[in-house]
Amino acid sequence: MREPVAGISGIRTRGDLSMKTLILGSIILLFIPFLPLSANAQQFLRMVGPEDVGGAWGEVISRFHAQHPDIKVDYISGPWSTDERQNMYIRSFLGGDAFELVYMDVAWTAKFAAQGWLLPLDKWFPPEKREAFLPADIEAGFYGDHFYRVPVRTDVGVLYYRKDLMPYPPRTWEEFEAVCRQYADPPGRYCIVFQGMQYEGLVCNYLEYLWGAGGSPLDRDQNVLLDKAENVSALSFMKKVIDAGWAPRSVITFQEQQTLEFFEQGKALMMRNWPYAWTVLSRSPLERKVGIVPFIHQTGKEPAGTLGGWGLGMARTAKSPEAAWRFIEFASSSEAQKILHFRRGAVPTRRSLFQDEEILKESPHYRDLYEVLLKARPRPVHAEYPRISSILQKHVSAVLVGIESPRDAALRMDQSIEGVLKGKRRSWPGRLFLDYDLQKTLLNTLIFTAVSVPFEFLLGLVFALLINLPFRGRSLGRLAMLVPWALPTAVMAMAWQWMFNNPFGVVNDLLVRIGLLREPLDWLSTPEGAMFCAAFADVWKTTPFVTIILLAGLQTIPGALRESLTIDSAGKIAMFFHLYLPLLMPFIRVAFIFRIIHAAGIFDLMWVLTKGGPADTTRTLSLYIYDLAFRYDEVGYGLFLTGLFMICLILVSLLIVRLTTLQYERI
Amino acid sequence: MKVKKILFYLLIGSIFLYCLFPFAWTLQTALKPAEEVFRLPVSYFPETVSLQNLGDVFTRRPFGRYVLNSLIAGGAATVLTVWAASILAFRLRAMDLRRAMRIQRWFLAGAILPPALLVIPVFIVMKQLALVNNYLSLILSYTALNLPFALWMLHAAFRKLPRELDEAAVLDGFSSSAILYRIILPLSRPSLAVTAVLVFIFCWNEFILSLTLMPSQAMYTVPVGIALLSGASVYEIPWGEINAAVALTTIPIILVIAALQRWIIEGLTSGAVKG
Amino acid sequence: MAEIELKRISKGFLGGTVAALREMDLKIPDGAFTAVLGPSGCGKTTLLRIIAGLEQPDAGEVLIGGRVANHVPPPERNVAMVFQNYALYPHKRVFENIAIGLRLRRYPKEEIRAKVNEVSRILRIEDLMERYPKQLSGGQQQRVALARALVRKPEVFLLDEPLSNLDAQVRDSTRTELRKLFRELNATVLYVTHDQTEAMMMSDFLVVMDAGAIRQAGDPIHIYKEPGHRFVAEFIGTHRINTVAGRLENGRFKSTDGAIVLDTMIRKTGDVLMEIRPEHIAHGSREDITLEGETLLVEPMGPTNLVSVRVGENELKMFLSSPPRVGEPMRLSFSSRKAYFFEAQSGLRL
Ligand SMILES: Nc1ncnc2c1ncn2[C@@H]1O[C@H](COP(=O)(O)OP(=O)(O)OP(=O)(O)O)[C@@H](O)[C@H]1O
Ligand SMILES: [Mg+2]
Repeated sequence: MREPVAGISGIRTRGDLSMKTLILGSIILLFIPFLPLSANAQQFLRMVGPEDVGGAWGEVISRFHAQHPDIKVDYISGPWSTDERQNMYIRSFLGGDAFELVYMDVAWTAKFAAQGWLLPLDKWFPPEKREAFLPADIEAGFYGDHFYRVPVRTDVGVLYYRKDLMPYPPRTWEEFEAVCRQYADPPGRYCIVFQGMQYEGLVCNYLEYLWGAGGSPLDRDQNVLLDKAENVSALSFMKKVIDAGWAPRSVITFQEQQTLEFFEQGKALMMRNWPYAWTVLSRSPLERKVGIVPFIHQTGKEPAGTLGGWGLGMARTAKSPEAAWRFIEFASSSEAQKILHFRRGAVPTRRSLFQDEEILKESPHYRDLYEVLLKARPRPVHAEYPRISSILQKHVSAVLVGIESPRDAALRMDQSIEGVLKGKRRSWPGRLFLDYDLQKTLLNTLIFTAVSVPFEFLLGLVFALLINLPFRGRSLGRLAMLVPWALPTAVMAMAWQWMFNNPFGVVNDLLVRIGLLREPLDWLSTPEGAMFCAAFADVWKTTPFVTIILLAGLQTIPGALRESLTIDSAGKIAMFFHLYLPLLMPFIRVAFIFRIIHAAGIFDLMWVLTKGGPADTTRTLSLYIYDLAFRYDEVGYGLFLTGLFMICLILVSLLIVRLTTLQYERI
Repeated sequence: MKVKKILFYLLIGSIFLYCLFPFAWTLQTALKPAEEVFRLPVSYFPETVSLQNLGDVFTRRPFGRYVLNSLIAGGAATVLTVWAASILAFRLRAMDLRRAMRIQRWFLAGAILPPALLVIPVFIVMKQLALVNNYLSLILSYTALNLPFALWMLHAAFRKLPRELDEAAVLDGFSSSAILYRIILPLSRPSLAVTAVLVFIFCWNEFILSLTLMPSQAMYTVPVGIALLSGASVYEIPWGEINAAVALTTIPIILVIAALQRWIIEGLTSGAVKG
Repeated sequence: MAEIELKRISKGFLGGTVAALREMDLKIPDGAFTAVLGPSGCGKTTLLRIIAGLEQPDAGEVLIGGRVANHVPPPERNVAMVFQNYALYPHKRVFENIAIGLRLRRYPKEEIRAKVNEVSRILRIEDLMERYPKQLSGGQQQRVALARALVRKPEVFLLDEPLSNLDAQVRDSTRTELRKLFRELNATVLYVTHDQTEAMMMSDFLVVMDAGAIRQAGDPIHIYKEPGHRFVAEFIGTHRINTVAGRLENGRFKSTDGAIVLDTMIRKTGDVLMEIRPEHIAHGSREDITLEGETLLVEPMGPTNLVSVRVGENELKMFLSSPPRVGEPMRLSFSSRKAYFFEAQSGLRL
């Protein structure tokens, strides 16, 4: 046996040793990089696109593989939502492991190029090659003096109309109104459907109204023109289309897919959509009953369609640019474009294909489309386009939903975009006051916190008091309490989204059955509804946390105090106020601070459940800051706001501590 | 008296229902065949039980991969967290209570910040270290995030062991780390288990860091995979599969919680009593 | 003020696996200062809680002032209880702690102030009114707890080991104070303790409990002199009573080893225990029963010594101011009238 003294001195040295192992271990761990699981072979290329429904890309890629066995292209099925895929690309650029092939919308090019994420393609794509393509598409591939994006498929917003139901397609807004009055018969048959959800597609729709009214978002010198009368009349007209019942109210949840389904079912006379819809319609009962024309415009102004379309660029960090170019070249070739056309209904970008016999046989309307395409207008080419777009989306959506008047929306659009463009040049603190998004999201955050936290406390307290009573099945009750607390917020947000679904959600079904609702509500697409859902889900999720803390508090209250008070003839209410409340105060305080901070910083739930929508009415501060850092690439400003936010939360916590510390706790 | 009792149980019953309903609903949707999911009127009990959705999640989506990612990141982070926390908690136990509590409070104050506020700095650091899309980024940040909680639980547990135990061990010639590994840890096995389980659940549930630090699809963890499984519109979302994925993600948690609930409540509340 | 009567009270815990009280009958005279004495876990606290109404008996009746009180809720029983560890409200100042009972009964403010001031003067805690319980010493806390009970002037006071948390000195002084106080109030008091000196000194009426049952109740001096049960004899007394096992036949007791033989008035045959208190054994052959023995052990106790003497196979203890040396032979004697005989089986006094 060792000497005790040796044992004690052993404690010292060995004790430090285990501390050292801890530090050393963490350092070693920091530096042994795990092998990343994604293999990084030399000729390995990745691209992200929507789910490859018709197998078109699969075919393009397999033909390419046949020609180039040394290059492997991986098509990653991203989400359907374009915005979501853009975020995937941005995160991959920021993360340093960029997808080599950048399959991008026209609207992304400027931003990606401005950030220096893309490799210019001038070397491989000289002017003589460009001539084979549609001019608007080529123009959209430029940022500054360099060319970044080879067009693979083009798109332009067009108006589909039912030839069989109306004698002529409307060209102007007045004609449109007349047609609607005469032929539409809602709710059986609406006049028009379009994409009214808050996403990039809404901007495309809106711009067609704006251009059609003779307006434009920016002039050549990048001055913002949105406070002009043209904008107000464009917005007013869009609002009128919904308010008058010409379009179903549900268009505010529609993207292309739903629009098309709605139209296909014969429930609308007209549809604003992209050319791909033609292919679908020509295989439906509506075959031959549909015509294509340019979108409507104000009398005396020019019609315009928003240029859309997809093209391929390459990441600056691509390890083998030659291989990537090889694929870009192939994917934009006539061969590939034809595959995409036949399998996917993609409109080609090579002029020659508009005279192609095979294509014209299947799509005779391309003759007309070609003319429209020559007049297509691109969205503002600006490095800040994503932010401009998200501001436009938000306010147009707000007008459609009825939260903002067209005039207010026009002014706010103008201000916010000015704020963004100017704010970029200002110091961060100066920017705070220009930052419309900040004010709005801050307000939303406050509303959300003020709604959910009190309910959590009320319920949490009731649950804790009930579950603290001795009763049969108590442990089952406690288990049930633990469940919401332990389940993942983001995952359960999906479950809530499903439960609030219209019309398949159980919430609607139950409320209709009970008789509280006459018809299913579209919970997540109205501002109040979405905020309510978010608060409801949050209360469900976090009440158990409050309960657990308060339960712990209740267990510290000696039974003798309760009994003594009973003998002193205290009823249940007196008992609560004289004994439970003051003695629970330290626990209530901890839970309260924790809940306030976390409710104010809510992210997971909102991101999944509402994405901040509709019209940004549930967008909270954290979502905004996250977007700043990971969508708008304003990490510095994002960090600055994070810091301010943190300081505010600390101050609020200190204030709460001050206000709720009772006299007896201070001694 | 009778009426009161019935009312009481009704109340308790509705709380029970309220807490479990979302999970139950997910489960029943997951078990419906695809046609029944989108059928009106809504059916409350699946007419035919189908495992189609559950299978599809694995065959049509890389859900297995997500699970693997979550297991790797969460598992490693849990081991690391519990290990580091037990060393720290052992140190805290050696101090006098007031001082230990003060240190612990600082740790907890750091942990109270919502991850949404930490994500930007963490991302910047991980990018500097070239750890984006690498399990290590999640493992390290999860460890940092959960360390205070684990420390709090383990400190409370270790404090319950009498000090005489170590004194006797010192006399028997144990070194300090031997005391930790051969005496304290084996004696605190239940608390270690509860702590590890909870930390793992927290990692399994984490969303924003994983969303940001693991941008490539092959590296998604389960919650991110599920959240991004959606399209953004009402009709094309594969609700059957989503519900199946949600059910698959949550069932293990519920089972574990059910198995350990007594210890979990005890651990959480006893820690709170001290704090 | 109020007489308390318990009729065949039973109380079990944990689904009846633990019997805290077994068919207990007890009648406490009105206005008596009653001590309830018994070893730890014998059911003293349970008894108080049943009287207070904090616990419902499984069977039996509780009568307060002649009325059945089983279904009367605690506040209406007009009892006050001082808990084992005082149960002061940590978040209320001393004044509020004392006043709460009156507040909840909606007394007018002025009256509350007057009453609280009065009791606090009696208990000499006027200067502590603005403090929190945490800022008080144990003795002060105990007085605040008493004040809280006194201020309502209840018919019955239930005190659960109110002095057990105090150190010996404070305990002695408070004990006398308490006794004086309650004598003046002339209230019915149930005073639980497991300290028998305290019980003997303070009470007019003593209840000795063991394992959920009452072994003996009555005048404390009488109980000391005439224990009705072996348990009482052994439990009461400053030092443990000497016990000698033996057999009684035709009025003659003979210890199992045959060393002790004496005649008694008891006409009964069977196995018995003879018990005699150490203070009743004398040195030499002054009394009628004389025994020879050998000194085993001397334990000095200040003015006197506790001496163990072996007589046959028995060990008897006695007090001696000038003790013999260990190993020396000893002669001792006692009066046969001072010896108690208990039936070996039931422990009942013969
Ligand atoms: N709530 C309870 N649940 C289970 N058993 C209990 C409960 N209260 C008391 N008991 C048991 O009933 C018996 C009597 O308890 P009681 O508290 O009355 O003893 P006591 O005489 O006051 O002891 P002490 O002198 O230690 O305070 C004990 O065996 C105790 O373990
Ligand atoms: Mg007791």
